[in-house]
Amino acid sequence: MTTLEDRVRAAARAAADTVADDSAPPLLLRPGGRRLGWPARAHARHPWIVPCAAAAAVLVLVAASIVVARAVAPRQTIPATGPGLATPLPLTADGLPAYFLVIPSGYQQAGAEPGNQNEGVGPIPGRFSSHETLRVVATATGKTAATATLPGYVTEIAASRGAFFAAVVRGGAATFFEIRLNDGRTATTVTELPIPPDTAPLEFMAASPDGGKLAYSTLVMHGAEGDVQNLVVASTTDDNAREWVTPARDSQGSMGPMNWLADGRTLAFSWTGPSETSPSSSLRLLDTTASGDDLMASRAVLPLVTTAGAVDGYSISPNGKVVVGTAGGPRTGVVDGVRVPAGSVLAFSAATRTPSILYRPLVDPAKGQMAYCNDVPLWISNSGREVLIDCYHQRAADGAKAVVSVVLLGGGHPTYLPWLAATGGETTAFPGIVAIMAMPSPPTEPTPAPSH
Amino acid sequence: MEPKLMDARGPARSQRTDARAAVTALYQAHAVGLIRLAVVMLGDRPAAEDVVQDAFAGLYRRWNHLSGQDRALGYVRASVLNGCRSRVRARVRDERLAEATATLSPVASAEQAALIGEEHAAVLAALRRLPDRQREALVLRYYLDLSEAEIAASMGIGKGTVKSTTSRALTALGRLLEESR
Repeated sequence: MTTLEDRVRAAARAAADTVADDSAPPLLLRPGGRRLGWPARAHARHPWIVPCAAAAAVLVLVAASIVVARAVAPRQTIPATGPGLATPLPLTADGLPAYFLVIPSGYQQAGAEPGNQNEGVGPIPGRFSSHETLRVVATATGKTAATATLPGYVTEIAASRGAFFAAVVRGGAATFFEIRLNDGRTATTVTELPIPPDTAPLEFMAASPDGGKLAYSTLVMHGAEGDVQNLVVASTTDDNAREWVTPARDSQGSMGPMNWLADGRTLAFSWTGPSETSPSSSLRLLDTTASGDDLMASRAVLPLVTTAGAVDGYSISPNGKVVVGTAGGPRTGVVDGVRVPAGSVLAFSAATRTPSILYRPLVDPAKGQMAYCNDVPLWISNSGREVLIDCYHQRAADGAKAVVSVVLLGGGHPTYLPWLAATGGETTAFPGIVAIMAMPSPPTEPTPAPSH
Repeated sequence: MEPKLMDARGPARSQRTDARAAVTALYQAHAVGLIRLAVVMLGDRPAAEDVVQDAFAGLYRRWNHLSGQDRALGYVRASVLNGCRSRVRARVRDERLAEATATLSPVASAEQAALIGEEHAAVLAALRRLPDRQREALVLRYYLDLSEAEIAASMGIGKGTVKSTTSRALTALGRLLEESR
């Protein structure tokens, strides 16, 4: 027995002893065994809150279940066929999609905290109800063009060229809706899609460019291996759907965000195996028209760890030629003989795997400056030459307060779109790609672009 | 109290027990032990509770499809390990954002240090910097006192791999602790 082993044993037991006997909260089981997919709490709770929060959570879930059940019953009849495909929306002068969809980030600021008097009262608890009303935002101005109210908690969103999509959790299952801007683009029409409800928790969702198919990943139980990933591709116009499963040998892997190629049949997703250096950890392309249901029959395009560094996940341009990711973690890489700082946006040729640096973050500790770009771009143009991404900047002049910049990278030059920075901390869906944005403290006002 | 989850079987022996009652009973018998395991892995009580709740919800969902319901505890423990792994990965992403925003102070670490002492907090902090497999191997070996065969079954790896993983983990842990001095 070595001293180190003793230290591990003692430390683990000390940590375990902070959990008192009989202190487990009640088990919350829902029909179908699914817990609702509330977003992860952004901040740790104080220990004394836990028992109160657990009790309050029971009240919230029961109240929400009853009220939601009343609000949506009788359930809308699933049409034999769904809506026809939407006409593509226009582009901005910069070639960006003219509109994108936002889930407001207000659930933390809605006023209801565990134990708060707002818990368990009202039709839907305030901290969750904000997730039912989505905003369609004009990219050129950052202003809300229209809103869409969904009949339950929105857990995922996606966008095609002409419409937006939302997965809504109600009654323990996810149902799917199309959100279409009306002709005047000042209002929306929300239509339930004929996709069969799914009781598995959704992780990521992506709409095909024409809006004819929705792909979503789920977590399902698989033998004794725990949760594994499944992928469903469902038609938005009828109830046809296909499912791919993770083989047992890859049960320790997980999918990241995904996006469709322009051909409308190839789905790209990042896969992380047991570690980032596992052979399976890569961007993968799945031909959704090919036979079979093996998720790992997809083709590996680019490893997550390359000479340019390590990324958590990639996105690929709709034409399939350019792969984009953000370097991070301790494994710094080199491109053209120059070290790649963490937070740099990398672009690779899908054919040759040759890397280049699209964006090098500003890092100047002496001035208290640093920046970091998000893992997943908001949007990539068809050619991959333009990338919209959100980056976080912190400067001494801001009093150590971080700000978000939404940056359009084109031809190696960043253009800052400060009016879109107000969406920091929210989940957005641009046509063609799904972007997950999450940061603990969004800025209170748009900020000028950092000078370079 | 010495944790020894492998020996406990609880009411899951009965193949035809009502799923809700069986899973609830299993939860009542083992939730605290599994929350403790998750707390060791994550250092975050709320997150640990969430992971355990998710694991039991998944067990309930798959109850009628289990090949052997007497293996339910092993099944749910594997789910807890998977859940912890996912949380750690998510936390790494969050911490990268926090580095940029400097808005997340290490409250959890500070609270834990106050509760369990600096020495233990330092060891746990280093433990949580290890790769998933190495961290799990050390916790299963030195916290749950599982045998190599039991660890291999829990992690889905060979016994030889358990030995080498544990050895590498101790080496890496020692290095991390030295670096943090």
